[in-house]
Amino acid sequence: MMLNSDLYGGLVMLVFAAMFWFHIGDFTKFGLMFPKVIIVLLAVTGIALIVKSKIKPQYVESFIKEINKYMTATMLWSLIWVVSANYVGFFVASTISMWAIQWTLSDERNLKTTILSLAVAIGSVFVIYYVFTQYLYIFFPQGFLF
Amino acid sequence: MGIFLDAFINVLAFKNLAAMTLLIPLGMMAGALPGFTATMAVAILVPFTFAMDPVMGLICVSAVYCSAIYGGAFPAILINTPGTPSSIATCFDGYPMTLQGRAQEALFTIAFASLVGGFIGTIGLIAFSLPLAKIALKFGPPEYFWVSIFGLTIIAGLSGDSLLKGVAGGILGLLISTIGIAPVGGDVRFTFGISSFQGGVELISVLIGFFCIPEVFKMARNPVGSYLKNTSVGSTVEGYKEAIFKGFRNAFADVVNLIRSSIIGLFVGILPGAGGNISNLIAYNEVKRASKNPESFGKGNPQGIVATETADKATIMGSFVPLLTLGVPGSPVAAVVYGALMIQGLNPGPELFTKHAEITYTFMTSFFVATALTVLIGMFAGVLFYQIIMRLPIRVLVPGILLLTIVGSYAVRNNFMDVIFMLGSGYLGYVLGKLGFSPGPVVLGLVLGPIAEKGLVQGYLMGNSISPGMPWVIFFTRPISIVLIVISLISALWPFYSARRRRRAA
Amino acid sequence: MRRLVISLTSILVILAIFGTFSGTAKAAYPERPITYVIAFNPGGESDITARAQQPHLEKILGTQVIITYKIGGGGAVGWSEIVRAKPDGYTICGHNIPHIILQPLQRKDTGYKTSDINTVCWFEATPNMLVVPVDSKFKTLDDFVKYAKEHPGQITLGGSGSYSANHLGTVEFNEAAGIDTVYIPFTGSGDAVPAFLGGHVTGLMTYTTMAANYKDQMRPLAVATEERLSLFPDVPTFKELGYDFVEGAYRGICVPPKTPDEIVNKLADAFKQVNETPEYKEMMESMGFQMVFYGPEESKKFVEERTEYYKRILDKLEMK
Repeated sequence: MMLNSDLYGGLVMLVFAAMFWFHIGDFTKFGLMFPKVIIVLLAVTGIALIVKSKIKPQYVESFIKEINKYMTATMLWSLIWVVSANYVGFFVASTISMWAIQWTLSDERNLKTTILSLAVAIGSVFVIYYVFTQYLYIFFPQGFLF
Repeated sequence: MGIFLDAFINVLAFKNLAAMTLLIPLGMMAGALPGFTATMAVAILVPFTFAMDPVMGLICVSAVYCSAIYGGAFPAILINTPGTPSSIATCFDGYPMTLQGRAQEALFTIAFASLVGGFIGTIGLIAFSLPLAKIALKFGPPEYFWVSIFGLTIIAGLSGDSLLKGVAGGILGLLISTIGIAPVGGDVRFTFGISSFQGGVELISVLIGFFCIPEVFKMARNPVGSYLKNTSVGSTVEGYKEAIFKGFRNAFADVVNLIRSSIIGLFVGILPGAGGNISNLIAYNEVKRASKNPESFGKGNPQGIVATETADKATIMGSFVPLLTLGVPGSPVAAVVYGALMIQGLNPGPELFTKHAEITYTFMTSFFVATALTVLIGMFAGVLFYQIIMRLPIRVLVPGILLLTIVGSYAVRNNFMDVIFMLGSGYLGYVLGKLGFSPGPVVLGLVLGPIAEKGLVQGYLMGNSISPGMPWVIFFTRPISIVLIVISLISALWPFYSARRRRRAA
Repeated sequence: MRRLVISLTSILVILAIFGTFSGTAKAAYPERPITYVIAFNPGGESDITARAQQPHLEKILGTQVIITYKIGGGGAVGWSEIVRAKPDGYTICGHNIPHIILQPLQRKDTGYKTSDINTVCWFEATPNMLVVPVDSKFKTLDDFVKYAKEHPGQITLGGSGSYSANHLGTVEFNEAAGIDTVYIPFTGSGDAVPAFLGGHVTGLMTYTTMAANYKDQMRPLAVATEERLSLFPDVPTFKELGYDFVEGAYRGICVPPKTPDEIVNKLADAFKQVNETPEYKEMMESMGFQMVFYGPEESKKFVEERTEYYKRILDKLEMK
């Protein structure tokens, strides 16, 4: 399956232009001047891309097929990681996510690799956590664990 | 001349050399971590310098600054992620070189290029500080507006296959840059109800999102074996001796490129508010424009990384010109140094050349030594970095890089919203990349947006007071503005001209 | 695998219990490092002040003071965080007047309310100062006002930010003198200096710190204080010249709401002692800072006073 990249690209640009357009609030003249021009320009290029998609389209191979189970798992786990870190705490969220990603990407899953990847996860998160909080004074979100 | 000799002897004191050698690897590590910028590295260093004498403190600053910018190129070349915004364009040709099994060659190429860039930058700082600063002062709001327009004209060089998509990406970047407080008027814009968006979008988190995250996803697609095995399929990997030789040849193959890129870097650095994030992109575009076969760029042409890494090193020295001559902190790092100088009891500005000449000249000459030491240590560090990354199995590398990107995008502003935004732009970057949009123009728009907007609105206010009722006249009547308009026009029309010329030649 | 899970859980439980107990155990404050959050860029006035205070504070409080940054939105990002932080006295944040008053009045999603902010003390001020280049034709404020009256809308004054002390000062000055100068905001007081030195603005409505630092390039015309400053004995106040306003930025420290009184008092006392340290005082004054001190109670009253005052002039502030 081939995708008409100009069409979808143009649509993405239009969505962004619309999103910002409808969030224009009660701005002063000076705050509005620049973004207004930019939104209009973005909408115009979006439309130009859509017009081009009808006249001289550029096709790309569908990337949906490219996304295999490993990629999906990584994409999902990174989302869980980022969202949960604020609630359960950076240390715990990172350790679990790192471990889970390693586990899903391994081709052989036995006790040895599981423990090994857990060790890698705890080790690297600990090093980062320790260096950042102790020496660089950057404190991570605590959440309800740590 | 005597004062320089003294300055050199000062720098070469054993304690200074020892401090530099100790700090450079740390600075390099900071720079290599995506999200950990040179500014943060220097800000962390500064409190420690209060315990030192001012000379040693400043020498430490120059060592950390140079090495952090240097370290930013490592991840750019190896995993397509700029470690600092100064290495954005290093990805464009550095990463394809890695995919061809030429990572070590690239790492040595940037070593020699950095040496030249750093030296030319330092010479510029020492010899031309005052006249250069005077030129920089002539740039008012209207000129900054045109500088940003000129910057935007290089989109064509960063667009990849489709110019229209490049333009769209650039405009998207400009739009994202308007999130946050309006520079004039103080409106809260496009925060979508999230109060931490008042601070605007952090360039670093978008940078990581657009460059690094799609790469990590692609890496995860085939998680068998190590990174080395996956990247250099079908090509041989050279030994490091051969790589040194090739790197040297690459760096000095085009002397014009070296000099042009250094001058671009130096001058962009001098302009308050513009920095390495812009100079490396302009230098990249100019080397591509000057080349006889611009198609070879983006596919592993070493001249691309020579240009970017020369320019961003020269920008380091340039960014200190306004601080040392006028006392104006023109870049974030210079602002940190400004604060440190105040606390040390040195008044930044002209006094530095009269009352504290010895300290100032020592600081300026220290950049020679910092550059040389950074390059020397950087060669070893680069190979080490390469060995580690290449040996790691993909299943460890993927979560490992994710951990660093999360920590990095958080650390910039201690704000977890930035992390969420980083991942969000990662998904967006992946989809847009697949649709043929390169990340370069988006990032360019994001960098130039605030400069363009401030220039436009402040210029409008100026114009309205000079010629009431006709606020836009000011943008077209000032001499430097006119020069900038002409340059922008030439630059914007160049791609069409060169395409026609090539068609005719063919 | 199961054993692993069990052992991990037990470790977590132990850690959690440990954490709770050490939290409730009452000991003399402070018993661990204090984090001092700066809501502005490193190298700015707030950062310079904090760096100068740091060694003295550490000596007085007997604990480490760690300076971190939470930058964005003219301070709003940092302050919306501090009002949600743990009220244990281990996180303190630098904050400014008029920012904490004007932002909630002017913005929708500020993320904090002025009343949420628990001020420990105000410890320094940077009054507004009107400066022109040393080679300017304006020798006195009278020259300036006379020219402004003849050429309405043609004088531009640069300053730091919109809805800032500089911005307010310009509006109040326009009002008091019956003139019409154009205020051009820059992002930060340092950012306006190149435009000033390059002659792109007529003058600056800036802070005394800038005038102290660029004394060879700037000619101060008047300062917006009650009395003349010791650092600038020759610079008249706006008041004595007949323009009745006093304006400037105040810096201080705040803690999360509901922080126990004894901690607030202890911190206020520490900052007061720092202010009274001769070497600190001398250093800050030479940089152009004005030493003031408002304790916890006075601070609340002061904020209320200023809020009333700003509410009155806010509608005049609307940029045209």
